[in-house]
Amino acid sequence: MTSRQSDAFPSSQSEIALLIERLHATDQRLEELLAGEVDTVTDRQGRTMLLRRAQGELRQSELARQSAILGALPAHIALLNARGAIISVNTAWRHFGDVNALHDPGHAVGQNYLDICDQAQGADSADAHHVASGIRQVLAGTLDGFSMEYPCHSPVEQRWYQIVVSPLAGCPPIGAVIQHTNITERKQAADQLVDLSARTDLRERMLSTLLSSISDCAYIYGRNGRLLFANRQMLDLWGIPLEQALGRSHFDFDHPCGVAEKFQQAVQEVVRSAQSLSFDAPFGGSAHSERFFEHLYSPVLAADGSVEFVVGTTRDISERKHIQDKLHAMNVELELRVASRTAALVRQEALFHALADQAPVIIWTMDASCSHISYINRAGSDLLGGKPEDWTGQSGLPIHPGDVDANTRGLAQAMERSEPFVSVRRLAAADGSFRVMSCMASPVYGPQGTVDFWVGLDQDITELKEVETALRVSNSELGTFAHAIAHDLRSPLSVIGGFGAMLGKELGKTATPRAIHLLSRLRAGVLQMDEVTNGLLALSGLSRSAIKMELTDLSQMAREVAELLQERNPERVVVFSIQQGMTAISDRSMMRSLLSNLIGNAWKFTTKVACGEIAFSASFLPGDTGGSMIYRIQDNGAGFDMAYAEKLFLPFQRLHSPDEFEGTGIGLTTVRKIVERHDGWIRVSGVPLKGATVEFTLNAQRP
Amino acid sequence: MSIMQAPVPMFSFQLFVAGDTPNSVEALGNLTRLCHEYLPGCHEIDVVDVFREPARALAEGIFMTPTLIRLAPSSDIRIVGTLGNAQAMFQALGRETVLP
Repeated sequence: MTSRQSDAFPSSQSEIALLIERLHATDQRLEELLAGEVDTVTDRQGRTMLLRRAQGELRQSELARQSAILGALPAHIALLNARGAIISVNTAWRHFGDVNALHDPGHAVGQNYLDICDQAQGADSADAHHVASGIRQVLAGTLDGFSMEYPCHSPVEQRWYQIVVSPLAGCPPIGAVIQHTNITERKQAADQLVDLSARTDLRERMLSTLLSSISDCAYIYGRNGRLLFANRQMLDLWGIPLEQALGRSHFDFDHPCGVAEKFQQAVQEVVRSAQSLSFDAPFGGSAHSERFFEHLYSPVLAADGSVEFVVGTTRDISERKHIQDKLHAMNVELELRVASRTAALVRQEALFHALADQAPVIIWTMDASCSHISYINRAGSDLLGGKPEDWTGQSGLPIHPGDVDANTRGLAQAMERSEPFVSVRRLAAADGSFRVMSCMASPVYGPQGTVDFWVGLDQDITELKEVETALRVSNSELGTFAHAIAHDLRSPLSVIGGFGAMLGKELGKTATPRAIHLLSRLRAGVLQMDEVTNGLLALSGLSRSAIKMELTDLSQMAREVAELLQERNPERVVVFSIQQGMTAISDRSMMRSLLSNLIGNAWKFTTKVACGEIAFSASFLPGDTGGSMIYRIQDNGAGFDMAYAEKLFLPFQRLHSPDEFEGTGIGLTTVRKIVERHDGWIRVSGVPLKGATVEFTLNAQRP
Repeated sequence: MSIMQAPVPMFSFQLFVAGDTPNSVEALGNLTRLCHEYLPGCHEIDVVDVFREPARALAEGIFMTPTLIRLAPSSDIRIVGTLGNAQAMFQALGRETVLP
């Protein structure tokens, strides 16, 4: 090109050289004159000339600056000329080529970028063709710019790029700037944002569903007291959709007078204090005026600690309130009943005192440990002196010194076993005498089952005791008297009997039938009298004689009695069944008397039976662990009415007339005495005309 | 303090530069540094690029860049160059002598 110019302008070549030389000299002189501190000079026509040094420096710095800026940019930048050839590239572009092993030392400078795109193969070829088309349109001036995002994944990471094609000056442009920017982070951030918003949306839906599924009303107010959210229950209560409710304040609802102010104040209070608040108030308009609601307002704090929202829940507590009211009514009723019960108690206590004060016996109460008297009635103070109240707080009643020990012991035992205390003790009366008292005291239990206090009765039995003593003496004397009479009657009786027999002999064959009859009546009377006196002697002897215990064969003894009876009345047919081997430690003579009486009775009362049956047996006493026996004598004779069972044992008591069955009437009395002396008991049972059963034990308490 | 509060006159400068040429950049740097140091709060600088506004330069008779003109308090001071001359600059800033 230079050679062509030379060819074109050969004559001016020397002039050009001269002018350049002058230009250099001029520039040098100006620099000298201006000490190098001036960049431009302007002539009088206003034509400004940039001095050569300044030009050079300006160009250098401009290049350095542009290079630095381009080099510092993270985007991969290439400059294309109008035909699409790469003119220059920046540091990032070169670096990308090195790292991605494109193995092009020139970094594609000089190559045509459009050709590179056109020749692209494989999966990315469509994108490359699209880019080539965009660049062509920008270079042609038909497009102000072109941009496209594309994936460019390396084997180890996911990458996305954006290509931006900008025209370079002029129209049509003289070239284009190609920028490839790594947008992977932005892409990922966008993906995360999509993910995050999806999760936020899910959480909102979860919360909203949760709030709608609770039975309470839930809602959110802003600081200004305007509604931001309400759940389904709340909206149902108001009867409006959410869109209409949002933004409303409490004053926009149909609340009873003064209620809206209350809610508004509550919101303000929570905003001010940042504390939760609960209160009762009607809610939800006049349609629910008869219902009761409980409200709980809680603050939602912002990051700086200030209250951002107020979350409220409202619960219908009408049921609870109703129950509380019922409970209150029940309490009132209960109190009334307690009051009336208390009044009844007071009346009962007054009644008790009135009764106790009129009772002829001494009535007293003492504390649980029997250490202090808490009450004594008028009969007590009348006997013991003073007034009833004088005795309250005293440690006890004035017991005779000789009875104190026994009384204390008995009471201690009763307290220990928590059982009634029974005793006879003497109390010092006000007149100085001692009165014999029959005392009976019982513990009174409290609700916990422990002894609350003791209540006791003391009955004055002094007179009774005196009568009893007199009676015992009299009885004893009577026994002695009966024994003496019986004893004394025996000899005159034997005299009568003896002389009667002699009179019979004397009369001999001359006796008239009438005389014989009278004599036989006399003999029968004497015999019966003899039996009675013998019986009486035996009975009174029982009380006096000592008892001699030895092994006795009761079976043998019973057989002997039976044989004796059969010998006396051989014409009678009676079947005896006597169990073998019945023995007992007992007084042999008394047992003989007992069996004679009982078997004799059975013999006697079976007289009118065609075939009499008498059985004697024994078995273990049921319920007795000591192995005691119960003995049983049964017959099939006349029997008796059970209503008279007890009378049988009384002396001289007879259920049958002497004409029917002979007897003295003291046999069973004797039997009972014998059994009692052997520490046993006896009982009889029978049915008229069906026989009788006598059961007795020896050495065994009545069950 | 009260003596120092005597009314301070407003200084107004016009600096003519030629784009980002080295001397122009240096002159602007020197001027702003000195004004900031000695005339805080009481100065204004109007930078005129002769490439962009050749007409203004011609109107003011500017034939070289960089050139500083003091417009106020009075307009009788013009300094050509990088403004590295301290004595000339103190005169332009209204100070007669170099402070120790």
